[in-house]
Amino acid sequence: MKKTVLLVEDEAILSDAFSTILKKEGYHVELAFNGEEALNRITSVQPDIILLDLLMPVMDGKEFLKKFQNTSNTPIIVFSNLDAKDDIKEVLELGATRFMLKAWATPQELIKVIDASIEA
Amino acid sequence: MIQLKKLKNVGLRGDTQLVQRASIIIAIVVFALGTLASAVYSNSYRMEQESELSKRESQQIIALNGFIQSRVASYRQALRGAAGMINVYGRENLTQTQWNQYVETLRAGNRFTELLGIGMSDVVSRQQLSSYQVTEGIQVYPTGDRQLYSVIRYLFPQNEANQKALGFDMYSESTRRQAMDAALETNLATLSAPLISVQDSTVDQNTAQKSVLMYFPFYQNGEISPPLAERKQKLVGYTYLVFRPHDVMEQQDTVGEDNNIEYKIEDLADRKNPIGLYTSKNFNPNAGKIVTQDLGVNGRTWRLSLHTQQSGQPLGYIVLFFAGLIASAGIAVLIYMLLINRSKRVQEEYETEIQKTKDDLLALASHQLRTPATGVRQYLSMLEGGYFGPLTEDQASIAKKAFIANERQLEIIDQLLYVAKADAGQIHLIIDSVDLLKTLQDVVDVYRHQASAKGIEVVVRGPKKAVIDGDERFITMILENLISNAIKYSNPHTKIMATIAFKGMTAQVSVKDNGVGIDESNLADLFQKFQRIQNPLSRQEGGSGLGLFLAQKLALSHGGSISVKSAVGVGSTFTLSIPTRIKNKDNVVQLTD
Repeated sequence: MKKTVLLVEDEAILSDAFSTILKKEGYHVELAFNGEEALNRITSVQPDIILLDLLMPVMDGKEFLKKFQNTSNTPIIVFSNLDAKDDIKEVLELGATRFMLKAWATPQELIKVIDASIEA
Repeated sequence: MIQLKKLKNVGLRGDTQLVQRASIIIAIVVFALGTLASAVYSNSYRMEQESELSKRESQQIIALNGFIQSRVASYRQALRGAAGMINVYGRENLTQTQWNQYVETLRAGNRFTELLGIGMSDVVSRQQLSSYQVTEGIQVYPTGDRQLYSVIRYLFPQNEANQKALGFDMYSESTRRQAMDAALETNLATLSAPLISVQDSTVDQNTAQKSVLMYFPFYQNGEISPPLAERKQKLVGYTYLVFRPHDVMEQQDTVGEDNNIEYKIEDLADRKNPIGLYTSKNFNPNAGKIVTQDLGVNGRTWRLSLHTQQSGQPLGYIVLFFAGLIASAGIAVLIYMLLINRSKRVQEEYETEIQKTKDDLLALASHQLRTPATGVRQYLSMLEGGYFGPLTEDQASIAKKAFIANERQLEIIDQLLYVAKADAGQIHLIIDSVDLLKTLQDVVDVYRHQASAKGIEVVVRGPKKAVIDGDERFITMILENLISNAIKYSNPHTKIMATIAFKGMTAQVSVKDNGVGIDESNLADLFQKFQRIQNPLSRQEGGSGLGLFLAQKLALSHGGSISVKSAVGVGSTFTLSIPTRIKNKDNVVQLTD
């Protein structure tokens, strides 16, 4: 069965690029453009993994993490261009599974990480 | 969208030189105004003091004049009284005793004690002289044949000097004669010009105080005021008195030393040669301001000259002026400093504002750039990875080149972000223990792929316990820069030697390549921002020019530095020197000088 990825990203360029990769790799992709939209759609989407950007309008990634009650223990990969150690530490404490730097990620790395996280 | 923040209105900013000039001018104006005010005020103070002085001096003059006039008036009264007494008794009946009694009465209550003598003379004609001498029993002197004689008959007190004076013909002396004639003519008590009295004839004539005589005529049959034509005829004699004005003024005690007043009195009969009558002890003829008043004393003119004993008062206004001057200078300096300070502060605020805007702009731009650059990376990767079908050899080659170019973009953006953060003081060193050898090996591992692509071997050497104080992230960045540069600028199939050594309290990491080398003329600018040297590989290899700049700044913030030795065509050795121990563990990376 296809795994579902909820991609929470406000920038169209990146949202498009990553969802293309994921679809090519056989994932079903649902998009949300900010944290609030993600919260609203999460129960209906029921993703196997969440890719979460941090810098978003309306509700940013950290706010989402605070508000999201991850009852099904869905793995959350924080996927951002912010790379300050404090930010990384904070998101991990707020419930993210791991952190990935967007800028330097390659499609292959991304898929590897997603697979590994879903397995875990 | 990048929004530029509007700069706040910072008011007095602008050319610092202009501001400084303006401040100086303002300060000078303030000082000038202050000086002017001081001058005006101290001058008005001086004038006030002077008018006070003048007022006082006028009062002193009035007091002295009053004293003199009243004393002289009392002398007139005394002589009138004496004449009156003679008229009552009749001259023929008058005796020495009666004369003495009269004078004693006068002198009751210690008055008239300053008089040298108070007496009476008989006016005798030539014809009457011999019988007069016999009748009165006195010898008239000086001897000689004269028309009229005014002979001193009675004189009180009857001391030795006064006794000697008996018989003296006062008409024989011109000053006395003049006074007596004037008295006769006016029928008023008249003062003589100053002379040395008979009583003072034995004293040193140069130092003796002048005396003055007062004469009052009396007539036959007790007539008080015969008509002018008959006066000479009816003249019987004169009552007279002698005094030294000096002695009289000594008795005056309202005005004098106590209130710092010094004065002198001169008889002004001969205006060209005034005769001194009295000079107070500390009278200074060269005093700054001497006030004079000519007093009419019984028909004579006595000049009163008066001055205040200088006691440093005039300096009061000078002190005031200088105090004002100093205060003005102080205020002017203060104002100048305040103005300069404010303009400096404003300038600083402005510059900080500019810098902050620049930093914000840089950070914003860099972040914004990252997004599309990341996008490109993903798409190129997809192409290369065959997600959209296999590529021909040429297509794959172009895709690879695009990918590498995009990586450069991402590198540059990273560096820009670092520059922005460091400029904003946002990069703090986190000091911990760093294993140099391990860090170096990790860096070399990261770049191994790039090195082997050019057939370059990177050899790492160093002691096992190469542990120092430092920020691991930044030391890694420095080493990454050095290693990647070495690989970039090495010729293919050469070796790179990366060595760690310890020299005292300094750790050294040397990266030696056998590459294109750097010309001596370029060495100086190597570590400047955006500096890229033209060499055969620079176009191919690309680079932002920020790497060495950043690396050097990071090294400096550790208290260390990066040095270089190079020769064109031979190769370069970059050495990072870093202290093994860092004292101040809270360093901010400074990118500005």
